Amino acid sequence: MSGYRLPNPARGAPLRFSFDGRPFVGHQGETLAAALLANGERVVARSFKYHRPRGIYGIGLEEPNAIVTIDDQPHALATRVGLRDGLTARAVNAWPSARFDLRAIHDVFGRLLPAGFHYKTFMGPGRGWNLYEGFIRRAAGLGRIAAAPMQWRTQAQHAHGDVLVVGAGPAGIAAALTLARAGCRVVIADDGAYPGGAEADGAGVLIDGRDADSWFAAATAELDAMPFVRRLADALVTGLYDHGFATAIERQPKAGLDQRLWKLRTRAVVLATGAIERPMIFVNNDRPGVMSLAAVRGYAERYGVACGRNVVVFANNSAAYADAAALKRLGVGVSAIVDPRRVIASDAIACVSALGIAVIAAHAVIEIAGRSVEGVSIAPVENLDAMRALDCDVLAVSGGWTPLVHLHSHAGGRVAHDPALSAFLPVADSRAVWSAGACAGRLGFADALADGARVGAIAARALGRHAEPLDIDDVIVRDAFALDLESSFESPRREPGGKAFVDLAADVTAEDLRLAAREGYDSVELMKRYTTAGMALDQGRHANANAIAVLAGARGDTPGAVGTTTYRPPFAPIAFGTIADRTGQRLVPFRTTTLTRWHQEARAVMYDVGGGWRRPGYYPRVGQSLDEAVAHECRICRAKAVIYDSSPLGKIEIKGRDVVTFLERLYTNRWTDLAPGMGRYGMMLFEDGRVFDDGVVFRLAPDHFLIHTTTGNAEAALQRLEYHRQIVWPELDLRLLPVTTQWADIVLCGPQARDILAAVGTDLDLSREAFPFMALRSGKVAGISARVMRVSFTGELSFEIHVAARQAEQLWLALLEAGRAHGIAPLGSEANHVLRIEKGFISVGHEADGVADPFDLGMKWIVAMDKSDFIGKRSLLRNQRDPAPRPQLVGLLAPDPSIVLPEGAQILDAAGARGRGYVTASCMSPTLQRSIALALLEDGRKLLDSEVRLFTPSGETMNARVTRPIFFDPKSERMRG
Amino acid sequence: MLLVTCPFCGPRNENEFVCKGETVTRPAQPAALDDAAWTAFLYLRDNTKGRHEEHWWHKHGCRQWFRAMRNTADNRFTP
Amino acid sequence: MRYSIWSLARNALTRHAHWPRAWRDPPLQKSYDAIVIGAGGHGLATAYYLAKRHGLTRVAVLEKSWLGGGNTARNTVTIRANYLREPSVRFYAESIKLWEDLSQELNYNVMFSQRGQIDLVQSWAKLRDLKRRQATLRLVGVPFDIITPAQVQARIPALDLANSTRFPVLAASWHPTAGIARHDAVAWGYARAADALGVDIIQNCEVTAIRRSGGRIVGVETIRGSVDAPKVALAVAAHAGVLAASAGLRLPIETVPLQAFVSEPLKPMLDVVLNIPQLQTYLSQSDKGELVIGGGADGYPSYVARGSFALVEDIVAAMISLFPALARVGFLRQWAGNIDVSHDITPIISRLPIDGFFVSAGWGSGGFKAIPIGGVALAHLMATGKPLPAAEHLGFARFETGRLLFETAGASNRS
Repeated sequence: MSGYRLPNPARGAPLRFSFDGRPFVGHQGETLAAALLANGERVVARSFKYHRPRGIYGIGLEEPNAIVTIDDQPHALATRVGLRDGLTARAVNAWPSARFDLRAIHDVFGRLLPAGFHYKTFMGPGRGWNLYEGFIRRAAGLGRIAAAPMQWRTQAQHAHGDVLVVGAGPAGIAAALTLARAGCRVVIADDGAYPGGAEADGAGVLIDGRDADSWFAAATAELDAMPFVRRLADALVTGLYDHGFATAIERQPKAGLDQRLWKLRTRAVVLATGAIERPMIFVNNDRPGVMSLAAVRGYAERYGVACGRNVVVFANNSAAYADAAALKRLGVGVSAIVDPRRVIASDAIACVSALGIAVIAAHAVIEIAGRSVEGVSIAPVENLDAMRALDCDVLAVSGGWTPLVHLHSHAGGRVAHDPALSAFLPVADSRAVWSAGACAGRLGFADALADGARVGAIAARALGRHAEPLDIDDVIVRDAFALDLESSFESPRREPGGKAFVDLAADVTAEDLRLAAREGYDSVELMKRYTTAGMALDQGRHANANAIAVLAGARGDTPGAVGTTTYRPPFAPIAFGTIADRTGQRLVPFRTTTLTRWHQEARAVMYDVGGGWRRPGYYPRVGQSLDEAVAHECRICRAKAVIYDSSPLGKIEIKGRDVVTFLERLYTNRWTDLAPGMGRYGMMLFEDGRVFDDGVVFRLAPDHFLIHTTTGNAEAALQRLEYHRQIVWPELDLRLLPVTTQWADIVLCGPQARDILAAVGTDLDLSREAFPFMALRSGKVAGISARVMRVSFTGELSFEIHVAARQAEQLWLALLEAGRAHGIAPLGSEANHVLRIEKGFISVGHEADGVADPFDLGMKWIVAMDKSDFIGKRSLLRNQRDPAPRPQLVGLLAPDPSIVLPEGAQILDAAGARGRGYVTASCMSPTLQRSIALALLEDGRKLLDSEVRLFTPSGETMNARVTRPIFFDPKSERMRG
Repeated sequence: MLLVTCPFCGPRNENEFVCKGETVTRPAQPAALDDAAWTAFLYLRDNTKGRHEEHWWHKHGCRQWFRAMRNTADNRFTP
Repeated sequence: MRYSIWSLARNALTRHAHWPRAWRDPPLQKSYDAIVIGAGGHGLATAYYLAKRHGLTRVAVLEKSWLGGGNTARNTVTIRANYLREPSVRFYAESIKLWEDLSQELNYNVMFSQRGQIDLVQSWAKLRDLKRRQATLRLVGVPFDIITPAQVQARIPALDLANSTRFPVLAASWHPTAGIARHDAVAWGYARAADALGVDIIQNCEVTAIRRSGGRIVGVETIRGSVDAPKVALAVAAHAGVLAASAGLRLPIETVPLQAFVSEPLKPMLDVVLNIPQLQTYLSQSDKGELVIGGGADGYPSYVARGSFALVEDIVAAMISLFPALARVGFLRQWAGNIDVSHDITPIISRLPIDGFFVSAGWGSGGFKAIPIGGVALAHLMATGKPLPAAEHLGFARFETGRLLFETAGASNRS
């Protein structure tokens, strides 16, 4: 009635584990599935939709039923979980347990739940779906995520080579040997612990007189000894991507690591991925006890576990006869083979008959009566009236073999249907990707071995190497019968009704597929999406071939005409944690300056800003709020002096004979008249006229400039400059050098700035006459070589000091020391924001918001329209002819000076229905002791001194008066001092 | 992940580069273009499915721009 | 046959043997009053509204492959209106209104789940941007709130805010009328309804060229022969440029790959749509239990429906930073489509410079949410010659005046 252990002295140590709360004993080296079978467990799962009881069907990745939750892993295949002491596993999708599941009621309502039922109902009343959705969602889904996840230790590693060989069965090993001996650098990956491939292949095989195990052992030792061969075991190649890139997941690569993600890049790929067995289609073919024949054989061979005492085989091909014979020889009771074929090869029949297995030809299993296999009903294919019962406790099915063509298809390979195998095979193309062995339709050990050697030689030649033939004379396989497949077989039915499953994992029946075709969802993709066949956890590995055959039958077409759905990575699920190699602070790189540590020690609140930089937002003293800290920093700046770190601002040096020509084309400004030692605020536009970036440009020498960009655009600016230098105007003589991180950029500004600079010690003449506004001087500051520029973003007297980055802290501390008596304080970006609003200075990303051009911003003084051309000029001319109102920079004042107009507030049109502008920047000004704001407003300059109505983010309306966009020191006398 | 061949550094992973897209020639005399031609330069693209001439920048490498020919229907570069 | 619980129950008695086809498989006629190229969500919706609202039923939708098989089939199905530009907000808000009654209108359950969307704010710059959006949305009448991290945690218990140390969550937006729907069902629902009104949906009928006679459209060339029509609309996403080229036109779009992927199906753990703009990642949970996850586009033009695994790594890392419990959950399947990104990331519904030629393109990564309004708008334009007022801003004229509507949400454009 159930599984048991075959006598076997060579078992591993006993282990205890529990399943659905019940204790069991297993052995080291077994999978959870093997141990459950050995303990006679039949019902280990409930199906996805109908919650029908299910047993273990397969032995590896082809398993569609036995999904369990282990510790904090919601979904594991019981056939791939290695047993360990104390393992606790629960069936998913079943409550309270697989054996007794309350949702089994779904099966009763099965007829109301055909494929696509949910599209035909749940539409009302009103927002109907939301009412029903909760129930559907709770019924759907499999496992739960863990409340307290355990640590998942993973690592990513790269490997490169000439060729990746996927699979270490006979084809893969033969290809790898051929390639490695020819001198290629080989990476070979196999999902198993050791080479050999599908275990059933090896038994009864002699290669030049040696048994398969020892041949594989010798081949493996040879490959492992070669320095240019990397062999990965327990490593499943999950995806093939463009240009020879592949991913593989290695399980338990070493102590302390759970999984390793391999990122492989090779010039060529040889796929020896094998094939998996196909189920048979008949009513109630999902009952516990129905298993893949290859799996039943595998449990006996590998684990010494008999899945039942009386196995009946239902197969439509002769290769199954070899498996049945092997199974019998291993000591498992096999009583009969039910075979729908009328004509069966005599050697196959003779082989099994000699072992006492009856062959019931031209018969099919019609249905299974009970809730578990306690016998099957069989009948002659042409006469269902002669149906009778056949006793058995396991029905081992073999409906043919499906080559695994996933990797071939991932990166663009095509497949074509082969009627003899009733399977889709890879079509060769011009990519350096070849398939060998069972996955190319060469089933059987000898054929696979020869094919691997052949393909290996082809690949070697493509890589420019000469390969010798493999030195194998003779391969003998004990029972090797040609496949002789009767194409995908569906048993006839005695009466309509009953569920014959095609996709066990998605609970999709043959009738569902025919319903889809009837309703017009008859292309293979529509069928898949409508019925969900092939969309479950196993992505249809066991089911798709049969589904295509059933659909073809429904359409009166060939499977080749139906085609396949798209194969997509990963071949099997990959734990997200294995892919996400970056955690914590390493999620995205961030950049710091040599002063960042000082900012943090000064308890600055750090912000993430553009370009990946971290900058100090404000420096709150104990108990200070953001507004209080900002007001304090602003007051100090306008009354005394502040110091801030401007290092992340982009800096690029440009040198060459044609530098002025180049800059005049890139910027809106004139540069020819800029004297060496002087600077000018410059602006760059996109070709369509919008502001791209701004910054001060200094002329160091007639042919040598230093430009500044905004922090966020530093990389984009360099990219654009290089593009125009190398591609657009390669005839110009100039070179670019990015120096953003080489120079630290410390700004000292405020009325006391000059005094502090003198106090810290400098050889520069700081007088107004010698060092005017916008000049650049080189010399020493605090004993450090520096370039000093009189540039101001705050509107106060300001010195921007550039020193080598490694000397920044030294200068910073020296300035703080020298400025202490003057009341110096550090300034953050929040206060900087307030100070520039007071001055009406635009900020890229705020007022230059990706829409406005410089005329919109009231900056016609920066645009030298008399230049023959510069980037953006042609579009500015177009904009000037635009009759529609353009957004213009204005200031806004709230009637109540204590109310700060919210940033982002929309300015309403006259009708009050739509927006015609918005507040770009707003703050409480400590200098003016009232709120101020900047805004972009359509035709704003025509509306000066008038009232506008605002609509705030919180949904209120308020008034404001339009004013000029400058609030403090309109003649900028303070910064020019 | 594409393997992009920088003419100076050899084949490197795609994430070392920035792809600007199809090659576009900046008009020598923008002022001479009428609005329709200027609009075409600014916004209209061939967006070819097939042989696609494009510009790449080796951002995390030699900082050189180069032209490449790639088939956008199968991602294969032709030398 | 009308779909309902009653017809479902009745048909159950006869083992579902008598369900009629959801749409016919009609022969290709020699001429139509209008042709829509592309049986994706937009194309099918357009055909439906041409028939339903404008009485135009001699209409064909020509599809090169299986209906709904383009980007509609590959969708991550986010439906929202939280855009930056006011005309865009109005447009998508109209779409949401149509979504709310769509299943009833089509008599097909598109599974529109108005579950709301949360956008995490992880930088002060993004908080500023958010306030501007909030003002615009509220002005248009779309409910939109700013909520605290604690409120986010209450809505998404599985989120581990403490784990997100690289970019601490400062605040979030709450967009209650946003949601998701079942992508295939939308295509199928519109197809069935359009077919019922007499529209011919012709699959496996690739259009190879547009036929023009001087300044007029006269029809199309297909693999099954020539077809005449005075009005032809392109609703083909990535291939819009390819077809436009056959008429001698170029479009302001670039075709790039866009990836997405799903997790294994889980019991409910995420009841809202979650957007993480700082990390260019977003996710929701389908009714089947799979987490549907997407991010930004790959960085090069391509018609290959494949992208870089490195981008998947970035998106997964972003997701794990907020949901460390997902580390042991399986990445089940990834796929990609090809999106047509317009120069300003804002779509185009417009007449083209050939009489009778229309285009709906440039939807980029945001076309799904607009299927209903996009269909209404293109149908209106085709039938009346004038743009729908809510879609006026989407016309081609903005490229001529330079008054583009830059929208930073969605896949990026390299200028």
